[in-house]
Amino acid sequence: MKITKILFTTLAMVLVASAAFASGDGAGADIMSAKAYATALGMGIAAGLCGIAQGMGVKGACEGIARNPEAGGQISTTLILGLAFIESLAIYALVVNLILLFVV
Amino acid sequence: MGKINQRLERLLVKSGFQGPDVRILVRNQIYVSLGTSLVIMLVTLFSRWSLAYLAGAILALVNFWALARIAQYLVHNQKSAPFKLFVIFIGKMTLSGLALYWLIGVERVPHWGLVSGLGTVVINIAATGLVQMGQKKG
Repeated sequence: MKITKILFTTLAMVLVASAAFASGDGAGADIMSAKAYATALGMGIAAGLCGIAQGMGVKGACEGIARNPEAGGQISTTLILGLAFIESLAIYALVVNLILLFVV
Repeated sequence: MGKINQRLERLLVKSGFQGPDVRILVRNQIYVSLGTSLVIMLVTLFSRWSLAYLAGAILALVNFWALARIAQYLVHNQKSAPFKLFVIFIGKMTLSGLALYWLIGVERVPHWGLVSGLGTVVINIAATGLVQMGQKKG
């Protein structure tokens, strides 16, 4: 509960900060700083969740190989497929964030 | 097609891919990335969109190559230096990030082409997963 409170408070501070700091500089700077915050938050969330997912995948593969070393080949193929899938999600997130920052 | 397969197999063995299953995965990724890029470039007469697709497909291929090599190396040779592999992986991720920044931020390539090129990994994974499922059922 305490962690949720801290998380939401930090989120609220981060989201409100752009409007508070850029009140005198006009709409352009305001939008740019909001984009920067959105990009940082988006990439942070994507990288964190992809890291957790990759860690869980590698953990499962290590446990499987430790239990049954002969199945190492099959497990490594599945592991590579899973890791590539998760990594491609992280790369997509990076692309979307870069587009948000530079193109939109 | 058989000769191209053999040449690619030799190249992959030389590059350190020991498992036959992993070699098939990487070979399929090479076919999907370079084959679709070539077709799209020829059909659209080397348009900017097709070049963006090629850039995305090459990035996806390089990432997949490095990931497959590192993962199978870790599974088969667990005693050899993991720190070196870690450094290679981080270096690869940094280079990919810089390449994407250059493509999107500096060159302003058509982003749908780039995203489609990066999607070749997902196509390969989905196709391989379906084939594996079919083999298990059959």
